[in-house]
Amino acid sequence: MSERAGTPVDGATVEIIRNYLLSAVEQMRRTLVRTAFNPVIYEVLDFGISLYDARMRLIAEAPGITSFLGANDFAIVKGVEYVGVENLERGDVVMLNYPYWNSAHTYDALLFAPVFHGPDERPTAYLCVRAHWMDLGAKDPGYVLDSTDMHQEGLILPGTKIVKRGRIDREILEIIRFNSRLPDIVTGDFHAQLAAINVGERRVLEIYEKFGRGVVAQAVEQILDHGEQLARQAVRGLPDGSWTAVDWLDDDGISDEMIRMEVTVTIDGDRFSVDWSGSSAQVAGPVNMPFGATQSFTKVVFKGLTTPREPANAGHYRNLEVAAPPGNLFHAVYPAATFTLWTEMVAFELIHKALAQGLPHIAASSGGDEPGFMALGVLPTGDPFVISNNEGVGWGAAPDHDGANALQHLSTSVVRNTPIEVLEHKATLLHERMELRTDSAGAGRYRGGLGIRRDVRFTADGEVLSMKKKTKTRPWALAGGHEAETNGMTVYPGTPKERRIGMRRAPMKAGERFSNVSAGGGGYGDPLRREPERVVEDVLNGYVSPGAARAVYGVIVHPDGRWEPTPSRTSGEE
Amino acid sequence: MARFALSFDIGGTFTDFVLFEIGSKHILAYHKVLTTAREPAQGVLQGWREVIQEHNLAPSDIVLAVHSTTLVTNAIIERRGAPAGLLTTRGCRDVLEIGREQLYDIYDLFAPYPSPLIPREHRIDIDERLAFDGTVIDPLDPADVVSAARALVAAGIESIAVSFLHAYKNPRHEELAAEAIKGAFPDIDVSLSSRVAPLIGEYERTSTVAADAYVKPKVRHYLQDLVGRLRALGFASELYVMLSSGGTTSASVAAEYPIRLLESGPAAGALAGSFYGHLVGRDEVVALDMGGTTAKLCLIENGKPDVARMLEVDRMHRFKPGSGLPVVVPTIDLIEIGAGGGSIAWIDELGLLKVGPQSAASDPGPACYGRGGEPTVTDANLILGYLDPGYFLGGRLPLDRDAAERAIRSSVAQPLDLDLVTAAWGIHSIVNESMAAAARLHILERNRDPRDVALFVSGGAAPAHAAAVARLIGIQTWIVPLGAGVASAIGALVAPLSFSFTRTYLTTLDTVPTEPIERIYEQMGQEARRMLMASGVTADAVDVRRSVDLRYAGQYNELDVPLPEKILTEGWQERLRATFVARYRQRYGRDIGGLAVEALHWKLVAEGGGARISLAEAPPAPPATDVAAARKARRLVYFPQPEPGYVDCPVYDRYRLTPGARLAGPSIIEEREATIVLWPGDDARVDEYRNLIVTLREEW
Repeated sequence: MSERAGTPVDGATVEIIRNYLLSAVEQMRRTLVRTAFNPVIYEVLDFGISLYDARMRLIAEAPGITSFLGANDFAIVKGVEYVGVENLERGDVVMLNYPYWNSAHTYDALLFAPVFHGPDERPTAYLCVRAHWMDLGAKDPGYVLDSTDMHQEGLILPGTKIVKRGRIDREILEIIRFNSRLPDIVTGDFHAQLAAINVGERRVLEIYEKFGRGVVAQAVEQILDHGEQLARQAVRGLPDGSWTAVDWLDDDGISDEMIRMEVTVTIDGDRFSVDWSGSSAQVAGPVNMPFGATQSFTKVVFKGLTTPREPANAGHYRNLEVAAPPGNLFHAVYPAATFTLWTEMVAFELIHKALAQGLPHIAASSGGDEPGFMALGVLPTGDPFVISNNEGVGWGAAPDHDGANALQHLSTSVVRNTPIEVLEHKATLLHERMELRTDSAGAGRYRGGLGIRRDVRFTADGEVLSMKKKTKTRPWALAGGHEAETNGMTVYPGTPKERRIGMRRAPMKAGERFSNVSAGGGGYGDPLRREPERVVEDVLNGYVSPGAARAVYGVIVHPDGRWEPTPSRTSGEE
Repeated sequence: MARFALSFDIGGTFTDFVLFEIGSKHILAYHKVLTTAREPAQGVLQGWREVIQEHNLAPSDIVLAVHSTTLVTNAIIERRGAPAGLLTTRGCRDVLEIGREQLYDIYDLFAPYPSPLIPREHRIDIDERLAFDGTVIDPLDPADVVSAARALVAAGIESIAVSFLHAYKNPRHEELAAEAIKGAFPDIDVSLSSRVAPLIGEYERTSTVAADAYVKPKVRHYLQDLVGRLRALGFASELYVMLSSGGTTSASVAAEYPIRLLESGPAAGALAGSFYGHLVGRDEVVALDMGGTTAKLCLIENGKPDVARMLEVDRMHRFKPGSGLPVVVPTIDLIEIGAGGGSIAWIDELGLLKVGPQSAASDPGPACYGRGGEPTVTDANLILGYLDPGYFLGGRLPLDRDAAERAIRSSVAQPLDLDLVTAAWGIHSIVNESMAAAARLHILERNRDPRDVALFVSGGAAPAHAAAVARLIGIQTWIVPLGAGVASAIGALVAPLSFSFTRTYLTTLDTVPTEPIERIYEQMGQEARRMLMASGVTADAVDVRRSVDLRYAGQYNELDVPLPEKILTEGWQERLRATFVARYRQRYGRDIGGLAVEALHWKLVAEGGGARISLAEAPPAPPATDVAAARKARRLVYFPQPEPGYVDCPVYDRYRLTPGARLAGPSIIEEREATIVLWPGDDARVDEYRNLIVTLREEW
C-alpha cells in the first residue's frame, strides 16, 4: 500500500516535518527518562526509542545506548509478523522479548504500539520503546554469565498484547510481577515506557493533522531517499576493496576456550557489506548474538563511517548488507543462550580493524570492550542492592591525534559512569583509588588514551561481577604503533587468594577488595617518531613512566623537564 | 536631587548601558560603547563618563550601579585564568580528568573534549577519607596539606582548589586544609568544594571548585580595579554584580564566589522577561531573546525563571550537552539555539534547506551588509519586507536589498529550484521552527497548555519572528517592550539582591530526622544573612525562601518543592510529601501511590530589599484613538496567510504609539533596534507602560 502523494514537497517543508518527527521521539525519550525507576534506564541509557511508518521503515529515532540504535528495526517487523497486522487494534501495546526476534537479550523488553490515524483500519505508524528491565526471573540475580539455553534467561513474551484497546491486561502484568525478583521496579519501568508511547502517539497524530497525511507520507519518502543518497554518496567516497579481520572473545562463560570472530567487509561502489560467516558456530554459553543485534551494531558502525551527523532513518541503511548464516555466533538460533551481549562490543571494533587495512582515517582499538562491574549485597538498612557501573577505556590513537583518556567504549559511548559518592551511598563499597593507569596506553607517534584503575573494598559481605570479554588479547594498534594493556579485574589483591578474572562472579567478604582495570587505546605509528616535547609532557603528567619514555619512545626525561634522545631515536632519524 | 541607577553589561562586542531615573521611574537612556576586551574596565569608564556628561549628572547622582559581564566565561574559554592547583582525596586526583566518561556525540568518534583547567602535574592527593555519611575513616594531617601546597607554590600556582570525597556531607577536612594552606601561604587563594558546590557527585563538584579557583585571582583583581576607578570618578555607592542565578550581590561578595558570575548577562535577559510578564499580569511566560548569533529561551513559571543546578562552560560543540566543563551553581535555565539574524542559510549535499548554526557574525555579516556575506535570516527578512533597508539600526546601517536577493537566489533559490520569495520564506520559517520546537518541548514537558503562556520577545531579531513563532507553539499572546533590542539590560536593574545556596542531604522523606535539616538551614541562613548584610541589607529586611529537590525513590529527575515552614514542626515531612505528590501530578499527570519519596538537595534563597526599581506608567497623554498619526509609510510585506503573497502594509513609528493605541495586522512597527511584524489576524494594543501586547484573533 503506497501512500505516495506523488507531488514532491519542497525542501523547506520536508525539513520542518523532519524536525517535527524528531521532536516527537525526543519527547518520548524525555518522558521515559523522567519517569523511569531504574538507573540502568536513566544513567546507563539502556533504551531505544523509534518511530516507523506504515511499512515499518524507521523514520525517526531517539538515541539511548549506542548498540540499541536500530535494534527495534528488526524487532518491529518480527513482532508485527507474529501478532498479525490485521489483529492490531487502536490502543494496543505489545511486548516482545524473545531474543531471536527482539534483537537483544531477554531483559531488553520491547513495547511497541500501532498508531491509527483517522478511521484507518491498518496502522499508519508504529512506536517502539525498548528498555532494559532489572529482572525477569533468569537463573541468577543481576546478570547471567553462564546460561546454556534461553530457558535459563527468564520469562519470555513473544509478542503479547499487554495493553488491549487502551486497557492494561492485569493478568499478564501479574505474571510478569510474579516472575521478577524486582517487581516494583519492573512495573515502574513498564509504566514509564507506556507513558513514552502515549506521548509519542499524541505527537505523531498532531503531525498528521497539521500537515496532512499525504504531505507527511510524501515528506517521509523524501527524507528516506535523502538519507539513502547521503549514505550512498559517502560509500562511493571510500576506496573499493574487501578486507578480513579476526579477533577473539575470551570465552563463552562455560569453558575457557577463546572464540574466533571473523569479519569480511566489502566496499563495492556505493554498496557496503559486512559478513560474519567466518566466525565460530554458536557456542554453549550466553555469548551468542541474535541476528537482529548483529544487524543493529553493524548499522551503528556503518552510520558512524557514512552519515554521522544525521539523525538515523531507514534510508541510511539501504546500501548496507549484513550477513551471518543461522547457527553462527552472529546469528543465534533457538535455544542458544544469548544473555551476555558483550560479543557485540568486541565485534564493533572488529569492523574498524578490517577497514583499517584499506581506509586511511580509522583509529586503533579503543580498549577492546566495555569493562564494567556489578556489585550485589545488603545495605546496613537491611535492603538488598544491585549496582552496575560501566568503566571508561583509553580510546585508540588516530592518524593525527592521541586517543582520549578514560571514555566509555565506542559501543556504549553515551553512557555515564556512576559517581563514587553515589556508589558508596547505594552499595557497601569504599573506593581506595580511581586513577588513570600509567603506561596503559599503546605507544605510538600518536599514543592511545589511558585506561583506569579502580581499587574498591567491600565494607560488608557481598558479591562482585566482573563484566568484560576481552582480557586475554590486547587492543590492536595501527601503522607500527604498540598494542595497549588489557581490561581485567584482580580479586583479593595482595592475598593468597589473588587472581585475575574475565567475566566471572566472585564472592566478597567485608574487607576484601577488587581492582578493576580498564584497557588503554592502541597506538598509531612508530613511537620513536613521537614529538619529544609531547613525550616530556606525558612524563610530567605521569601518563607515561620515565622508563617507558626511554625504552619505548627513546626519550630520556629529566625531572626538570629537560630531555635528550636515546641512540635508538637518533639512529632512526634520517 | 535626582537619583539614578545605571546598569552596564559587558558583552563580546558591545558594552551596553541603561540609565534609569529612580524618582520618575523612567528609563532615560540606552548607550553602547565598544567592549575593550583586554581591559574591560576601560570601556566601562568611557561609557560611564559619556552617559554622565550627556545627561549632565554629577558622579554622586548615580546611587545604584549593577554590572553583568562575560569576564568569567571568557577567562575559562580562553584559558586566561590563574595557574591553579588541586588537592584531592588519596587515589582521586584524576576525577577531574576522568569525568563522567560520556561521549556527547554518539557517532562522532573523534569528538574533542575541553582540557581540564588544572593539569595532572598540579593535582596532588592527600591521605584522608570520609565515609558516605561524613564520618571520618582516615583523619587529615594538616602537615601533609602544607607540604603539598608548598610543592604547588614552588611550581608557580596562585590559587588552590580542595575537593575531598563526601565533603558535601562533612566539610571539616576541607576546612582544615584551607586553614593549613592559609597559615603557610596567606597570599594564595583557596576554594573549597564544600563551600562552592556542596552537592553529591565528586566530578561535578571538583570541576566547579577547579573553575572557581582558576578564575578567583583574576575576578578579585578586576572587581577591585573597577570599583577603584569608579570611586576615582566620584561614584560613592555600592557596585552590584549580577549572578547567574538571577540575583545580584555586592562586588566584594562576588569576589568570594567568582564562579557564580558565569552567565550573568543572559540571566539578566531572562529576568527582563519575568519583570515585563509581571507588569502585564502574566505569570507563565516564554522569554525569547533572539540576537545576531543565537536565540535564548527561558521558561518563566509562576513569575519566576526556572533555575537549573548546573551549566556547562567551554563547550566544544556549542549546542551539545556534555561537551563542556560542568559547573554546579544555581543558574537561570536557558536553552540556547543556533538561530539568529545572522544565521547562514545553506543547502546540504542533497537538497535540504538548512539554517545555522553558523552565523555571519558582524564581519562580513549578512549579504545585505554589502560586504560579500552569505544569505542569512536577516536577508530573508529583508526580501519578505519585514525590514526596511533604510531604517536598520535606525538608519545607521543601510542594507543592500539587491545583495540579499543575489545571495538568496544563487545559494538557495536556484539550487532548490524555488522562486526568490519561497526561498526567503523557507529560511524565515526554518529558524522559526527551531525556536518553536525547543519552546514546545519545554512547555509540554511541564504539562502546560501553550494557550496559557505568553511569549515575551527581546533582542534585535525576535520581534520580526514572534508572530510566526507564537503560532507554531500555539501561544496566543505576545509582548514586546519598548526598546526590545536592549530590553535585557533592564533585567539587571530589576534583579533583587539575592543569594542562593544548595546542599545535598540524601534521605527518604519518611525517615528524615528534623535536627540535621534544621542544622543545614541554620548554616545556609547564617551565610546568606552575612552576604546580604555585607551588601548593605539590614537583617530584618532579609527574606528567606526554602525549597527541596524531591523525587520518588529510584527516579532520576527531581522536582523543586517549596518548604514554607521557617521552623520545622511536627509532621513537616508529611506535609512536604503531600506538596510533592500534588506537584508531580501537575507535572506528569499521574500519581504513583505508596512509593517512598527521596530528598536530595535542600535549598535556600535569601533576598533583601525587594525589587529595586519599578517602571512608571507612561506620562498621561490623550487617549490614542487614532493611530494614523504614527503611520510613517506603507510597504509590501509577505505573509503566508490567508493567501500567500505580498500585502500592502502600513508602517508605524513605535515611538509615536501612545498608551491605548490599537492596531491590527497586517502591519509593521519600527523602532531603532528592532522591527515588529504583525500578521493578518493579529490584534495589538499599547499598554500603559508602552509595551505592545499582541493577541491572535480567534478566527485564525
